[in-house]
Amino acid sequence: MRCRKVRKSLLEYERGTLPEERALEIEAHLEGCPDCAGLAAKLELSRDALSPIEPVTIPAEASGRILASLRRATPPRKRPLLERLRSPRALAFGAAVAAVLIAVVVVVGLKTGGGLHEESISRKTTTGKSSDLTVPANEGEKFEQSTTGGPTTGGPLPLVKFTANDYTPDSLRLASDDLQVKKDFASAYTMSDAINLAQGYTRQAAEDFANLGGDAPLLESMFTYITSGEPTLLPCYVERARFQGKDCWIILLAGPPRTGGSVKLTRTEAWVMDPVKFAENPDAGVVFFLEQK
Amino acid sequence: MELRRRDIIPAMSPGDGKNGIKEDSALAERARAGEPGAFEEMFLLHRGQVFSLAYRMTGNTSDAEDICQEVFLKAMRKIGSFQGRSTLSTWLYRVAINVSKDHLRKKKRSAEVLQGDETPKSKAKDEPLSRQNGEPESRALALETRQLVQEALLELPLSLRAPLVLHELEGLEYHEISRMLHLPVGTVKSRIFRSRVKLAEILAPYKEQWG
Repeated sequence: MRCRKVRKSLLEYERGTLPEERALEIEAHLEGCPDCAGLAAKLELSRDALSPIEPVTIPAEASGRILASLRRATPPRKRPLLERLRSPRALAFGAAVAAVLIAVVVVVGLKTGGGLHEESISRKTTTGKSSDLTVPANEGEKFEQSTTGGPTTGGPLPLVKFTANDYTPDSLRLASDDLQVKKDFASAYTMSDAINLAQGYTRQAAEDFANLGGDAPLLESMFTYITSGEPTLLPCYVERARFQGKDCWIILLAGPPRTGGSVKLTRTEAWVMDPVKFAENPDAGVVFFLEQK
Repeated sequence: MELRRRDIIPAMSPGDGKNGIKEDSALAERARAGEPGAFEEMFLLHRGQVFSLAYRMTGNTSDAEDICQEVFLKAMRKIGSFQGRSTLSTWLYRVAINVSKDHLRKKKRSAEVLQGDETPKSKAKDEPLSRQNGEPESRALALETRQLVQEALLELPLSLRAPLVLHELEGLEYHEISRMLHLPVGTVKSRIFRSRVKLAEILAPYKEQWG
């Protein structure tokens, strides 16, 4: 019997699940083949080592903490559509939408040519300076997308910018400390908001990124990559800049602290991504990671 | 004939088998509808398996707790994608494997990029067994057998660790792991074989523990 054929059945042999005739063939082979006998001995040792391993029990305190976080994050029960449409909030929202539409019709009617274009340009430059992730020694932002007035939540929206800043790990840390949008997210949103809003805010940031000329699908892939194991992270800031001399995308996400009872999004993760490398191999695209608790 | 863990340990969840799938579908439907308590019920039923797997993958109760929390939060967000083709137990195992891998990848990445005093405090604990100080014999005497095995597990690459833990410690069959990890059954089997051999090589200096 050839070694390769024997090795294919060694797991079953050491487990005792082979038919007797086949087991005897393997036994005969092992007596005359030191290599295969060595492998069989290793399987035996690993079996002996693994067999006394007991299942791990979750500590009661840990279970309690997780249960509490699940209760805090439990999404609201879905109500039937008709019931939702009749609610005071839905009626108020409908009235507001109608008012805005009427105002737009009036304004467009009064203006002549280029009004919508001007409006879209002005939206790109309305963000307050306090939200900028800037480094004193650098040139500052070139373009940005608005962060205020979330249409569905009323809370802050992710801020997207293209700048010529060139960060180092230290300057990124300092700049991130002072970032206003991070503080706005921390005070406005909780863990359950993060779960409910993550998808919409990812799309919003990608759209803003595309409006500035960036590769939106690639940015969305990065969000998916970063948040795949952490559903409680909410995108709050994207900057196309430089990091240690290389073109990079800096992505900040807000999340709840890993320990303690707070559900506010006071923890941030900053990911510095190399878009070229990320497109080839996501794991190779992470240039720098910074967590601020 | 050797007894498998599944033979001696009661089913880790009531979600095994066809009845289990029906019960799981009902529970998932209640969770999707936002019924208060449905996710709590899911957590109470499956927390043991998720925590156990996370601990075996990371070797650390704090990381296992983080992963366990993330798994159930993710389940809360993704329950719409659970179609009832597998049991909730299998689905949660799959989520737990992915979350564990991401967690370990992020931890490794942050350890790589952080420097000096920002090096994680747990580094010494996470240091591979073969690179820790001390003579193998004295270390073997000082450590519990189970801890030795757990540390040896952490030395295995993730591609080998996951199938080994799922099969040998969680009691899943080859075909279940195959579906969970999207690997052919033959690959699952060969990875388990290689992981067992590698584990024995790591534990060889302490083999008198199991003599």
